[in-house]
Parts: sequence; C-alpha cells; structure tokens
Amino acid sequence: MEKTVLDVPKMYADHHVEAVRKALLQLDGVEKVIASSAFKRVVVAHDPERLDAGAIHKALQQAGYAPGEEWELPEIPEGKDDNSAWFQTLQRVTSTDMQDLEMSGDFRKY
Amino acid sequence: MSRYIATRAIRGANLIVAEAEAMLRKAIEELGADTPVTFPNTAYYLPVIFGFTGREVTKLGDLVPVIEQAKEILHPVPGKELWLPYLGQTLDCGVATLWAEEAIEGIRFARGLEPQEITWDGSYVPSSSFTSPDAEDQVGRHLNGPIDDIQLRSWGIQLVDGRMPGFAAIIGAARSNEAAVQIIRELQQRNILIFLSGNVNGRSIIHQLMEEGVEMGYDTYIVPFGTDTISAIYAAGFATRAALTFGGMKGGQARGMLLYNKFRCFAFAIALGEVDDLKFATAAGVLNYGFPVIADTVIPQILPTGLTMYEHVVSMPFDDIEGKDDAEKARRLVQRAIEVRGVKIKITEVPIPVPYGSAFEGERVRRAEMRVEFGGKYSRCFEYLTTSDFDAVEDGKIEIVGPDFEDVEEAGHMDMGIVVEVAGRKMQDDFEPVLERQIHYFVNGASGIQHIGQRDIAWIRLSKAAAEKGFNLKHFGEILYARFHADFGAIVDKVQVTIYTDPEEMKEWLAKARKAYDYRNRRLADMTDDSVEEFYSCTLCQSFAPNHVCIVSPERLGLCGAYNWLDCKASHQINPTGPNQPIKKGACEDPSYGVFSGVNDFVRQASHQTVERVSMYSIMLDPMTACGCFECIAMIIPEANGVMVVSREDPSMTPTGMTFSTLAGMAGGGLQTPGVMGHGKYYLTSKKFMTSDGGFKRVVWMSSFLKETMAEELKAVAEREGDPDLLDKIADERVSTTVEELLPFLEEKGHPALTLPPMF
Amino acid sequence: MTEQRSIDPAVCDLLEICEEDGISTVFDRADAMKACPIGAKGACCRNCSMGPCRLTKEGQVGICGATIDTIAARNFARMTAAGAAAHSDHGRGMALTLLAAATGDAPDYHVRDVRKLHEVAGFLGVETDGRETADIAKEVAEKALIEFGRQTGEIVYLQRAPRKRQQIWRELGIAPRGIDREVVDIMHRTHVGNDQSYESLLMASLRTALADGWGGSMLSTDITDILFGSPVPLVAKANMGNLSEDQVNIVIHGHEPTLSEMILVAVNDPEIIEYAKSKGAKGINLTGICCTANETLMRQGVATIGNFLSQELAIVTGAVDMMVVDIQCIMQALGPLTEKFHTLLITTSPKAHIDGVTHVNFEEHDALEIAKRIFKMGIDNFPNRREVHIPKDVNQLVVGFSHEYINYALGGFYRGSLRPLNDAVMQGRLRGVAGVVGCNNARSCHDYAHDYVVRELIKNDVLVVMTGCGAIACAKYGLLSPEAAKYAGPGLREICETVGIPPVLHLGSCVDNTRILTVLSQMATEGGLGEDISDVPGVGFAPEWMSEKAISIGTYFVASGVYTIFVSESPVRNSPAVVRFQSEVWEKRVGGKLEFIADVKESVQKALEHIDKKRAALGLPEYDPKRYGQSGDAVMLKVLEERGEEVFNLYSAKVVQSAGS
Repeated sequence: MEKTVLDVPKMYADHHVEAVRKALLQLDGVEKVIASSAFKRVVVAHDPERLDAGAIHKALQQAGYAPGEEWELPEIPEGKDDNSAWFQTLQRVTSTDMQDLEMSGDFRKY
Repeated sequence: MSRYIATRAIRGANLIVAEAEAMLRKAIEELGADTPVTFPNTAYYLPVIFGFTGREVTKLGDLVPVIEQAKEILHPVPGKELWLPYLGQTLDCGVATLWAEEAIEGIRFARGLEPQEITWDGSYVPSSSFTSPDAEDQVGRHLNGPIDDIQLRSWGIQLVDGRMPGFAAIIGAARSNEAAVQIIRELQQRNILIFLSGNVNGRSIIHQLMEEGVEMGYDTYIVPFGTDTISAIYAAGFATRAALTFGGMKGGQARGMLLYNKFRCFAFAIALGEVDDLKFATAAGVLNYGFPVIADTVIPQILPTGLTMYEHVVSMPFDDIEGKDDAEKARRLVQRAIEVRGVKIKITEVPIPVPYGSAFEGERVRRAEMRVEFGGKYSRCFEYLTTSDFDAVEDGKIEIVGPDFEDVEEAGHMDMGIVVEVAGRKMQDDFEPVLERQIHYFVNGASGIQHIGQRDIAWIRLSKAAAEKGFNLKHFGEILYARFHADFGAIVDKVQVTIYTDPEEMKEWLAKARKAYDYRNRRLADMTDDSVEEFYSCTLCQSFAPNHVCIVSPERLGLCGAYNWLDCKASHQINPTGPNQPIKKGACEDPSYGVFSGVNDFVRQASHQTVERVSMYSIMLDPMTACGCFECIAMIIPEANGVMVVSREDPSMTPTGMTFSTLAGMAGGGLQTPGVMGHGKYYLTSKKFMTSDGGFKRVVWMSSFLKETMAEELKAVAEREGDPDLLDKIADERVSTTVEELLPFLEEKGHPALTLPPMF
Repeated sequence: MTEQRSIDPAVCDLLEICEEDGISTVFDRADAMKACPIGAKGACCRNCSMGPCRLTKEGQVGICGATIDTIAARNFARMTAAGAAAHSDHGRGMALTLLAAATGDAPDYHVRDVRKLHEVAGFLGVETDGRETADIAKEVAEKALIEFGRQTGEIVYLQRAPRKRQQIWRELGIAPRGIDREVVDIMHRTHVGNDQSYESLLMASLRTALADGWGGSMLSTDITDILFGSPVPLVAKANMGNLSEDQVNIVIHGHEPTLSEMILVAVNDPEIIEYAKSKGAKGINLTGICCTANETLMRQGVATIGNFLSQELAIVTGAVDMMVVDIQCIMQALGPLTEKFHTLLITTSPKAHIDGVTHVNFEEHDALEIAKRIFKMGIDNFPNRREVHIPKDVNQLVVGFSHEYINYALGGFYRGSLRPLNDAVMQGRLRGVAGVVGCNNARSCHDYAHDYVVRELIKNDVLVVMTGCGAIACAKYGLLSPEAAKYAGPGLREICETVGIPPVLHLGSCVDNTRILTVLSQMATEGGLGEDISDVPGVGFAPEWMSEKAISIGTYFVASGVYTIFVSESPVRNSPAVVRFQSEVWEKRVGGKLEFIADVKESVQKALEHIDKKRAALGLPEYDPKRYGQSGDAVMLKVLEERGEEVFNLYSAKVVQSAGS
C-alpha cells in the first residue's frame, strides 16, 4: 500500500470534496481517500501495483482539480479607487439607525 | 473577525461567486434563460436573495443581475502585513456568498439535482419524504432541500411563544457517531430545530445519524438539507422567510430582516470538523443575521460582541472538552453553543427514563416498534382532568389502579384511563378543558411515546425502546405532575394523577368523564360573543409581527387555532401582564360587522396606531390583521360573489391565481387588506363567521383538506344555515383551480352565493 | 542637545546638520527666546492704546479697570475666535469651491462622492430625489454658505448632536446663531469697554467654539469629502525617508486640499512626467507636511514627510525642489531658510503671503492650469539641486478612517453601526475612547508627548483616534499600523484583531476633529453609554498644542461634553478664577471641562481616572484587563505550525500548551 499526498488548491469547499472523492474512489486500486478542503490536500492510499501516483494526478486533472493549480481570484479595486465598492456601492452613515433601536427593544438596555 | 478567518472567508466568497457565475452561464447556455428557478412549496422566490435585494428570481436569467450585484460587494483578500480593516468587508463577502450559494441551489433545482439524493449504511429506515411526496421506493432517498411554507407557518406559533427557542444549523460531521447523536438529542430536548448540511471528507452528520437510526423529518425537528455546505443556505432562507412571514418585512429590507433575526430568532451555527474557505465564508454570511458560530475544532475565536448578542465565533476543540466520553463532550458543546446565543430555555425536569422535550412531540411509534398501545382500534383510553376540593387532592400522588402492562403481550393493547385531579385557589372550572388539552402535548414530549386524540378517543402508543428503558404507567403520572406544576403553577397548586387499568374502575370513571365532556360541550356552545362582557387580546405574536393584535372572542378563536377565548382567559390568569389581556367590549357600534368601541380603542393602542378599527365579523370592512401563523386564509372571489378558504396544508393553486404561500404574504404582517383575512379553521363553524358579508353561504371554494378533516362540524354548519347540501356545492382544488372552472360548477350546483347581494 | 529636541530620528539627524552648518531652526529660536512670562499666563492686555497693561499682582487692575479675570478671559476668548475663524474660513473656502464646481465656474473640480453629497443634503434639508448631482451640489453649497452668514436662529448642524446635548446648549444660551456672527461677537465683546465679566466671556467662547466645531469645521470636512471623496482605509508611508534622491521632490504644506488635489491630478499628467524626465529626473515624487499632507494622505495615500516642526528640516535635506504652501501653520522662517537652499518656496493663497517669497495666486476657475504651471516651476528647479541629506526613516501606516467608514468597518454594508464599539466599551474590552489631536510645540520635546500619551492610552485599552500633526507624529513611530496592536492592552487588541484596525485611528486633518464629534454623538445615541456625549467614557487630549486653532478645538470639545486635557501650563493661569471656571463650572454646566496639565504622566493618570469615573456613572463593570484577550489567530497559527502531517484533525489545541510549557 502506498500513500500519495497531493495539494489540490482548487478544492476549497466540501462540494469539491465530494467531487474529488467520487473521481478517486472509482479508480481501480484506490483503498482510501482523505480529501480535506481545509488543507486543500488529498491523501490517497492505493495499491502501487494497480495504480501509480501519476494516474491519480491525471484523474484529478480530469475531474477539474489538477494538483497545484489555483483558482484565479478576481481583480478587485482598492477602496480609494473611483470604481471601488466604497465609491460605487457602499452607504455613508453617520447617525444611529432608529429602526435598530426600535427593533432591539429591551435588548439594548441590557 | 480575525485576519485568518477574514482571509479565508473573503477568498471563499470570491471563489464561490465566480463558481456560481460559471455555473449560471453554463446553465443558461444549456437550458435557456427562461428556465424556471424555484424552490418548491415556498414563497418569496429565492428567499435570501429576495430578502436582501428585493429581486424576484423566477428564471435562470433573473440570476444574472444577482451575481452582478454580489460582485459589487466583494472585496480583496486582506494583506499579509499592513492589512486594511476587514470586518465589514468579510461580512459583505459573506452576504455575497449566501447569494451565490442560493443561486447555485436555484440552478441545481432548475437542473433537477435538488433535493439531493443520499445513500447510507446502517440501520436507518426512512419513513417519510420531505418536501414533496416521493414514490414508494423513493421514500427518504432524497434529502429535504428548503423547508416548505406550510411547515414554516405551523412552526410559527411555537417559535413566537417560545416553545421552540430557535434553530441550530449544523454543518459538517461530528467527531464520532456517538457525539453526533448526543448533539442532536441535546438540541431536541431543548426543542431547538436542527438543520443539517455539509460534510467532512465526504461524510456528513446526516450519514452519521442515518447509521445510528435516528429518525429525521419535520416531526422530529431534524431537517437534513444536503450533504454540502452550499445547502446550508436553506437555513439562512428559513431565517429570512421567518422575518418576511412573521416580521412584516418586505423584500429588500435587508437591515430590518437581519436585525429581526438578531433580536428575535435564536439561531446559531455549529461547525463540526475542519472548516474550509467556503464554510468560513458562509459563517461570515450568517454572522450578518447575528447568528454566532461554534466549532468543535481549533479555529481562531472572535469573542467581542455587537453583530451578535454574545460572542461571534467560538472554538471548542472537541478532544479538549472535559468529559468521560464523546456523549458528555457533546453535551458540553451544545450547552456552550446555547450560552453563546443567549437562548433562554426553561427545561422542565421530568423524572422518566427516556429523553423528554417537545422535539419528540411529533415522533411516531409504528406498529413494528410498538410495545403496547392504549386506545385505538382494539382498546379504549380516556383522559379526564377535574378540579377537586383543595383538601381532597394529595399533591404528587400517583396511583395505578389495576395492573401495569408487563403482562400484556408484545405489540398488544390494554384499556387505560388517566384522571388528573387538580386544586388551586385560582383554579376555575372553565380551565379544566384548557388544561386537559395539554395532556396531549405533555405525554407526547416523551421519546418513544405517541399520543393522538383527546378525551375518550385518546390513543397512546409506547415503543419497545421506551419500555426497555423502564418506562411504565407510573411515568405518565410523573410527566403530568411535573409539567402541570411547571407550566400552570400560577393556577394549579396541587396535582394528583390516577391511572386506571382495572376494568371496573375504568368503566366507572369513564362514565364520569363523559358526563363532564357533555357538560363542557354544552357550556362552550352556549358561550357567545353576546353573553360575555370581555374579549381577550392576544399579542403573543408581537414578538414576530410587532403591530399585529388578535382579538379572541368566544365565537372567533385565534387565527393560529391554538388559542380560543377560554385559553386566553386561562392564560391571563396565569400571567396577568402577559400577551392575553381582557378587553371590555364597550359599546357595540354594529352587531353585524362586529364593531365594538372597546375593541377599537384597544387595537389602536396595541397596534401602535397602525390599525384604527377592526370589524370582528367582516372580511370586507376593516378585517382583523394577521401575523403569519394562520390556519386558513379567506379571500374574496369577486366573480363568484363569494369567498374561498384555503388551508395551510393545501399546496395547490386556488381560483385567485395564488397558492397559500403567495396569499400569505398579503394576509400576514399585521396589515389590513380588505378582502383577505387569515383565520383559525374552527372560525368556519362559528355563527359569527363573516356575518356582515353573508356568513358561511359565501364560501364557494374550500380546500378539500378542510372538508375532509372537519366533515362533521361543517355538516352541522350547513344544516344550521338551512342548506344541508351546501358542502357539496362548495368547490375545492379537485374541481377547480381557476375562476373559469369555478363559475360553471357553482352554477350547476346552484350555490347560494350567486344569488346573495353583491359583496361590495 | 538634539536628543531632547525631538524623538524623531530623522529630525535629530537633520538637526545635527543644521548645527554643523549653523542653520537656525525653530528649535534654536525657542531656546534663544524664552516665552514672555506675562503673556504666557494671560496677564497682558493690549486691546487699547491706553495699555498694554500687565497685571502681575493680585487685585491689580488695568487702566480701564479691567480685572485679572476679565483680561485672562478676554485673551482666551480672542484665541478661540481666531481659531474658529481660521477653521471656518477654510470651511467657507471649501463651500465656495463646491459652489464653483457645481455651477461650472471651476471646471476642474467635480463631486467625487455622490453618496456623501446625498447624506449632507439630508442634513441640510436639500431635496435629492430625481435631481441632478450638480443641482444638488449647488444647493448644498448655498445652504452651507447660509450657515456662515446666518444671523438668527441656530446653525443647522447642531441637530446632529444627541438631543440632550442640544437641549443643554439651548438652555445655556450657547447654541451658535451663525458661524461668522459668533466670531464677530467675540471680537466685539472683547473690545475695550464691553463684556467685562469673565463668566460671560467664557460662556461666549463656548458658543463661538461650537460655531467652529459644529459649524465651519464640520461643513469643511463634509464638503471636502464630497469634492474629494470620503476617506477609506489605505496603506501609506510617513517620514523623511519618503523624499526621493532621483525624482523631483514637491512638498505640499498647509491645510487646504483644493490646490493639492489639483497638483495630484497634474502629477499623473504624462506631459508633466515627460517634462520632469527632460530635466534629468526619474519622475516626480509628491509628499506633504502638516494637514495638507493629511488630506492627501488619507484620500490618495500621498506620503507625509513630517508635521509642523519638520517643515524647516525638510528644506534642510536639500532634496526638496519645491515647497508649495497654502494656509495656516506655515512658518515665515521658511522664506529666509529657502534662500540658503535651492528649494523654491511658493505661496499660493491670497490670505497667506510671505515677504520675499514667490507668490502664484491660486484661483479655482483655472485650478489645473495653475497647478501645472507651479509644477513646471518646481521641475525647472530640479537641476539646481546641490548636496542632499535624506534620512532613511520611513514607517508605514493605515489611514483613512472617516466616520462613515468606521460605521461600515463595524458591520459591513448591511449591519454597519457603532454597536460593536459600544459593546466593547460596555463590556470593558475597551476602557474608553480618546481623541489625541493637535500640534507640535518647540517648547517641548518634539513628538514626545504624543507618543507617550498614545502608548499609555492604548496600553490601558483606550482606543485612540487622532488627527492633525499628532497623527503624523504617531504614524512616524508605527502606532498607526495594524501591527501596533501588539502595544495595546488585551481587550483593545481583541477589538483590533476583530475589525482589522490599528489601535490608533487616523481620522484626518485638524479640521476633521469634527469627525470625532460625529462618532461620539453616534455612540451616545446608539445606546448603552448614556444619552449624551458627556456620558461616554472618553477624553480629549492636545499634548503638544501651540495654535489658536487648538484652543478652539479644545473648547468645542468641552462645550460638547468632553473632558479635554492640554499638556502645558495654562495660558490663563494668571486668573485662578478663570482656571477654576474652565474646569469646575464648565463641567457642571456642559459636562466637559478644560484643564491644562503640564506633567504628561499626570495628564494620562487624570484621563484614565476620568474614564473610570464615567464608567462607574454608567454602572459599567470596572475595567479589568485580565478578563479579555482570548480571541485571535495566535492559537490557530501555533497549532498549524506545530503539526506537520499532511492532513490532520484539529480537535485539540493542546499541542500549543505542551509546546509552551
């Protein structure tokens, strides 16, 4: 039995974990899969006779989770830029929202 | 926030929005932009998106601007050093995450991939389907998906009156199956709704519970949403819909909706197992609602408060919790979670050998698991509560007259009578039926006990599991003794329970009980609005619908069906400053419309000047407002010169072109809408049902559910109205779901409404 | 010697050069000329030509019979009026610019922050629905200008204060009627033979100061935000190391951002950059000093090279090719000093000429052209550079905390409010809040008091907000960077980590002290910390004050209910009655008091005592630093570091404890 550890940065959430496990567990020779979306890492216990690390790598690639490959984060403008959320979307508030006070009722009084 | 969490949450948000966008593009390409997107049996479109933005998503194309809007509130990941503030940004990204997740679920529904399918190992036997009826062999093979509206509304009253303190969204998988079960049991005992989703390494707490044979479903307060984090969005959807349904919020009133949840909905999230970027991002989203997050692994803690009532993010590494086994650790975990949310829960200690709590109220005991039953087809069971002389009652005495059930064969039956004698200085005969009705809830709270019916048609089943744990007849007494003291201590000073299984004694007491039932029936029937001086208010729901006031009179019960005039009177006795206040009727300004000066004065003040006048018996002129937990909605059908009555159990289309869920939006929220009215189903049988508008004869359409479940009562009404065949002249969803189909039917049957004067 | 003059290493470096080269600076002049002991304590009256009178003995009166108390109070009132005039005139300038921008008379300016415009329109009662931005802007500017010339009634912005506060002002008759009117009122009142009751003079000072704080300054802040954008956090740099060896160094100095914003536009003009290159420079490096620096620092991230006392030393580096100044706090000494260096000094405001210095009159209708012209003059001067000494000191900081952003930071788009801040104070994670503001003063060690006060406060879990030269001072010592949370007490550190902020927030220039008023008002209305600004556990501090503007600021804080400490001897100490009135009587009447405490340690002590007193009055738990500090990333990072396996469960944090022991 061999243990292959691969970093899969694209696996950032548990629905990816399900997809990755599905892709790996159907391979012949895979004994056990630990897929961690927190560590973005896959640990595969497999029979080296029937399946080598390269094949695991390939299976992941085909499933859309190529080891080492990252999702690209979108470019987001800095706050001070004219097209930032601060100037395009966000509100300017300087006074207490009276609705807050009403809504909170007795809670506010502690 | 902490920078560690902020970094991951913001990254997760950016990625999930991109993922949703890609999925949406693909779905539109493949299915077309006009493909419908809907969560079945729910109102408010995709509720989180609707609640935040007011956007009414009904087809794939509608999601495009939602994703665009989500992108507008995304922010960059904070720097490794010299980072800029990230709390506000993380919260925004959390909101974007929720929209993206809901969009993804919408797309999945469009593709027919939701509710998710599930397979499992272990002893679980699915007994019910969730959202939609499944074919026989498919029962339980699908997870729940979004909670349907009927369920939301029927839980409404429990949420407002505190019987159900809130909900826990559990994401991931527990340290062990033992821990999973214990966490669930702890929450159930506190009557907290449980929503399940997410997985760790492919394993979800849903799998764990199925392996352990834990019954899931609306009845047991356990709702499995799906096995990934994305499906946790339904919990946020539930919270959003609660604010829209009961809080009178409109779509797009995001801040109000969130604060409503912060202050009025006691919910929290428990993250079990490792926490990834999307879980952090989702947690950031629910923090907007004021829901804290408790994790059973090491994650950075965020303890300052403000967004939430108490701490924001709490980490309780499971192995570091003190406790001899996983069950004890799980217990501590849940306790801490409840502390963090500040949920006030009163647990009544009931000394019985099985778990106890109203989460077990809906639990069923099937014949196969049954040890013994009382009542039903093969035996008789009755329950009777009576007031006795103060000195004649021995407080705490529980007596079994006759044999216990140990000699009854497995899955057998026996006769039983439960007689509760109470005494108290404030006790009145009028309260007897009110208290007696509580026996149903009290007994049902025990795990492994099923109670159906009341009076002399009560039917109790006891499971093998409960019997194995040592549950016997005496424990019925223990339950009743403990609960009557805890819940009605203000009017009841002494409680004594006698359980009769001896045939002779049983027969004797049954006769006494029947005499009392008969007396009560007549007395209740005699009680009319004219015969009393006072009505009662019910502002219980003001915690949810701040401007709504129910006026409960002998002939018009509360719209939730849970409170009639006597209940309110008893409740007032128990808690004189509580939500049920006596209202002097004052001068009757119009007997037909049911306008009373005292009532108007009260409503004006208690509704904070939003409602000026109320007609007790009219749907057209100043009808009574509703919160959101009504049993039925009546709505005028002008073409038919009558009204239709739809019950909340009925998901079908109505001749008004709207389903119950859609109608509920118009009827609820404490607003007066002439022509629409929420009411309790027994109001249909009242002599004062819409008297000013022509009474019961105006009903031209009625959900078949009502016709069937209230057949006897409605028949009596028809006879009273002088038209014994009236019921057959009333259409239902099987006959017509459009006005075009309805009118010919009415004409054919000669419905009296067609000849009544115009309604307006 | 220089060690005691400043705690800024760059300043110390340059002072050594000055000593070697025999250059006289503000520090030398302060040593050479002792403060006039009569004027310093408020004993001198020169309001008419029968005097000047100096009243040095108890019971002595002036020629007209004015008492020690009257004279001290009159002097104080005039300082307040001068400060209020300076700020408010600045505000008027901004309002006029907005008006010109809206009507098209100043085509280079436009409304950058439409949302802020709408917010301000709301305060001023300007309808926004369905109207063009320019239209709204015009009416906002006009309404703002009305506030300056208002004769009766009261200024509109008073309504932004908590209700209880407004009531106190009205009951005491100190609600200002119009901004200009209150300044004129003081000038009239203090003329010979007029108001000769110290009590009446001091109460009038409160009213004039309020006209500044809730009038001229607040309008200035708002309108500047409308024109140039409400600040939002960004990373920037501070201190002399930001001067460049091989680029044209242009330093902007003063207080008004109208010109500097145009210079910023011009600096990115490819034509200008080409021109600079043609003169042998690699490019153009724009930096700032004083509050013009603060304005561009917090909005665009233009580096600041120093505060008030650094202005001469910037020239001494020999690297400044041009210094463009507008208004306020510009030392005349710059004129003669620049003659010794190649630096070109240019005055631009018609209100601020310096004899012998080139003046280019700045006019808004032709703003960008003038800015470019000035620029070229600077670039032309680049080849004249001689020896250059640029200190290496640079510190990074996060700036841009407008009051609007603070709201956002604490809850995001949907939940923004000050609730988390109030909660933090209520629970005792934060002991209280403090505004530390003000100038530099050559009579005390440069920056020392700022640094000391702020470090002590944050160590005691007091969240500090700063403006003006004080903010630049602390920026230079790294206190404005988020990493500075390590100097904070455990509760404050938790808050900093939660929100991602430094323990010391940069709120802007000195005119932006009104942002603090807005935050305090909102804290009071948010609930849990009383109903008025005076209930909030907070203090105001001016550790190194020197200008009359500082007096006006301090006084409007007092009038708003804040205990304000100036770290110096009192300028009115000649009159014990006035000193007592400013402390005890003002506290009784308006809830705030003004105290001058020369000992910096004692001042911090008193501030903390005051905060604790306010906490007790609110019934809040006693401050206990040991109760908090459990949250944060540290444990998590430690666990991740200690464990090296490929994937592991995180069900235990014990590894940290064992590693720690």
